[in-house]
Amino acid sequence: MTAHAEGLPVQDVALELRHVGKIFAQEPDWIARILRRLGVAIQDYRLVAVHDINLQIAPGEMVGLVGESGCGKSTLGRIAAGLRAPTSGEVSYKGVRVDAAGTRMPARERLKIQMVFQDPMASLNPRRRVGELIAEGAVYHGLWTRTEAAQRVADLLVEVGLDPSHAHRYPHQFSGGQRQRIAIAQALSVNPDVLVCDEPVAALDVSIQAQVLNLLMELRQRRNLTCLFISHDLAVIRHVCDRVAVMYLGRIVELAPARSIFEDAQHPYTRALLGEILRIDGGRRQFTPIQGELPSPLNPPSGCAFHPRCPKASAICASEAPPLQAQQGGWAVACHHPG
Amino acid sequence: MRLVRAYMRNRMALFGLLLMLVVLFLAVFAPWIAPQNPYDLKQLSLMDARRPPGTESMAGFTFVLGTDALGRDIWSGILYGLRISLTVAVVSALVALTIGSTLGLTAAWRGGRTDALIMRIVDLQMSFPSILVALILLAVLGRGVDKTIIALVTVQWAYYARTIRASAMIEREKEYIEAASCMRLGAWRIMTRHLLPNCLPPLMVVVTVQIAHAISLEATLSFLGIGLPETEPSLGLLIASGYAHLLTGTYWISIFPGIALLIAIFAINLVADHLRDLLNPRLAR
Amino acid sequence: MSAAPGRSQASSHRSPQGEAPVSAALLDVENLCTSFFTEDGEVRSVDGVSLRLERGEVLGLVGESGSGKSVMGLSLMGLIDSPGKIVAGSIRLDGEELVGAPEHAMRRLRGPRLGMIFQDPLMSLNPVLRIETTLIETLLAHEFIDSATAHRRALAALTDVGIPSPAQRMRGYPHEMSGGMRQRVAIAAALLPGPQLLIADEPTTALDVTIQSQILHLLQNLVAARGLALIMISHDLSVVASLADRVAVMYAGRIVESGPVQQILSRPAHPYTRGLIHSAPVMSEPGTPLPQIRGAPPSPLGRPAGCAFAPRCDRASSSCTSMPALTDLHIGHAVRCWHPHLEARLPGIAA
Repeated sequence: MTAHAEGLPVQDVALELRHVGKIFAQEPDWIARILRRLGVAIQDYRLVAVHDINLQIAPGEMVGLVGESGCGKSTLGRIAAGLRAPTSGEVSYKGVRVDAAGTRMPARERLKIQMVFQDPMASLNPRRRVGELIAEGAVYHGLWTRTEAAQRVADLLVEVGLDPSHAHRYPHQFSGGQRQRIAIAQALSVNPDVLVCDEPVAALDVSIQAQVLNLLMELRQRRNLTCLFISHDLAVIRHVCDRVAVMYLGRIVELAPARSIFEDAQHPYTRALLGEILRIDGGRRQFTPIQGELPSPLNPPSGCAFHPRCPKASAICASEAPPLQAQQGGWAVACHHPG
Repeated sequence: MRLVRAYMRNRMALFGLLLMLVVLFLAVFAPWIAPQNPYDLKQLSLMDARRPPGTESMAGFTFVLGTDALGRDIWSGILYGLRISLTVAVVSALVALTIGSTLGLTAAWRGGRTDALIMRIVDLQMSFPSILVALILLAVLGRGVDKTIIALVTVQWAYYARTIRASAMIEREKEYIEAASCMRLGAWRIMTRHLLPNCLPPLMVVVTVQIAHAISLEATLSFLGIGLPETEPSLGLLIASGYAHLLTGTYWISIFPGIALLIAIFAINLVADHLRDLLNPRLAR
Repeated sequence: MSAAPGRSQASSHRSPQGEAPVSAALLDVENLCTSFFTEDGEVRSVDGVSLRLERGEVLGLVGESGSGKSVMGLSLMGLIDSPGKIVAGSIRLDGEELVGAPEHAMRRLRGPRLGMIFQDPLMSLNPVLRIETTLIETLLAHEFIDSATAHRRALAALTDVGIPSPAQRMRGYPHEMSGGMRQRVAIAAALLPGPQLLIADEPTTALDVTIQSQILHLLQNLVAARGLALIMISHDLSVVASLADRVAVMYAGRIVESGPVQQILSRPAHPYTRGLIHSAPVMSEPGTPLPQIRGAPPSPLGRPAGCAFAPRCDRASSSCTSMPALTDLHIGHAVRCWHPHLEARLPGIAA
């Protein structure tokens, strides 16, 4: 199933997701149950956000998670970071179980996985000074003493490209790109090994996106970070990631090395996504969009979730969901008609 | 702060704030401003009983607003009464704030059964008329300042809990709280140092409104003769003592404390209203 | 045709009698200035923008936050409310002056002549009204037709924008539809009265990539089928590149470069445009640091005197302390810079 990291001993895998699933369900309350007995049709609210995800990330690797709305990538990111408990399956860091559903909560290991969020306006507490925000986690967990905190904060601010004398300012006094750098500094303060980035540049101006992407790439090299990079933008992922996992409606439909996915995408959905990358030097183009709407996770199509929109769909696609099958060259596809 | 500057721009609000500060000043410095301590029996003289406003007293100063049946200067009575009313109102508001905030935050943070339980108790509390609850409580507990405060806290805490829970539920979903969870800071720390400060704006309005409400509630209770004892007479008691004589000529015993009460509540409500208007567009931003 | 740099060029197009020329441009904007008067001072969101749009032409307006592109769109529609105001300049739609026009005159134009769609389709669709109510209301407000005709036209409009089972969807509410479908309905509503000009303010930014493509495809078809003029406002140069005939790049309230789309993309003259194109990930070898523009766009409050891009520009010199004028480099290609690039840009990396 896993391509790159398959067969590695458990301790050599930085982050592993095994059979991770997340279902949001609302049990009918007692009124609904009575109504149902009386014959009223009450719908069960059951949303399969993420279904049976298996992923192994090697240390120092940057894996991209790409997909559109409803594919579950944000939910998966939060499960990987330990912010949400998976309904099934588990997340391990270097062999130690760290997901939020685990009974033992090993604080030290869980601290090694940090997250950078999408909206820099919302990811910093507006009422605290920036220096305090960066230092809080490290001081709380005893990684820094109070006396050295100021110096450490200054060092981190320099590392992310900000002026260390601004540590006493409030978040609203910074621009969007600067706030994102502060959020990154905050995440780095506890010396994580794994960084989950949830659309870190989507909310930024175009001219600032390159700056933050460069910063992330540089930090990853310098600190040998392992990253899970979530984005809807395949162009960005291809540029910064080693491997790419394409998600559709809660499942991984293709897993491939980033360099080659542009040329050799096997899954029809990946092909469609690639076709959508509007090229700047392409000029006027004829669009050939794929038809149909993104299905709602509340009401997924039978069999392969992509079959209503797929140009290659056949009878088996409507009845059976294809499993993610490993192929050579570190590739994996979930399709009845790949290639 | 920008809030202060924006507040100052509105003349009515400024007026309300000024009025409130005057009331506060009078209440705090009552012993030094009042020409007479109406609770010091040695200073009273029955010869001064029921004197109309403007009369000269035996001790030499003028009874600006007249005297009551025991010869107590109404003006001094108002000043001391304000003191007591405000103290009781503010203390009860702060205690209710503490209790209500804790419960509301816990309900919002924990969600699920805890939330349901706390909110049902809040609903229950709020469905009883506050006067009724206070009356019953004080009938059981008896008279006294501390008992009045307990009664006021009991009828108020639910508003704070509900308000802060509403804010907290919105803030809880925001990413800075997720970032704090990612840092594995303890739940209590996240609630107090991250969630609470960001839920304060609507609370400020509730506190102000509730203080006004507490003053009027306490006045009502004292008027009815329960709550505060006679040794700590508030404005309500002053109004009550002159009530019987309202139409027989000695109107000043009830009317002036009544007007004082009105001004105090009006000032606080003005301030609260403008705070609310100011905070709304900011919340929408 | 280039963006008119000032009155003198525009007047040279006029006939000797001083009347508007026969083949007038559909939209002629001259030196438009829109300001917002806030408690922190006057914010000049649009600072002297001139442009021309012919019938059936697609103009892309590209810029980031603070560039004034959205305010530009709203100014054209006359939707600037207090504390904002158009303080100078003129907007002529088919010869008719829009700046200073009374509200009832603007209402006659909005709909039948001018249409607009927004990033959030719920800005065009009232969430508590059924789709058919919104559509028919728009029609009946502008034309004297009976409701049966209006209903038929609304149904046809929904079919034109590709809504499946339109009769059913008419009876539904906006929240029952996906984002992409809502945007289609918003487009249908905007086009129903048959305007000559459509302004689209970031219509696909909030949509998923596959849906974005559908909407752009739809717009492309509508423009071709109806001879519609379109102003496409976006922060994404590649979206504009795929749809527009001409592009105008805005920075800090002014147009810094404009011209035919192929020309701008292959030979960007302004350092900002060039920086934007080069910093896109598709243009670089994967894994390498991306060429970046340092600094951040200036806030509309604290704009430097002179060229607003100078603090971020590698080519800045002492002459950049004064504002350069928009000058023609070649026919149709104008740039506002003291040191424009004259050479072609680096080629992108082939996919």
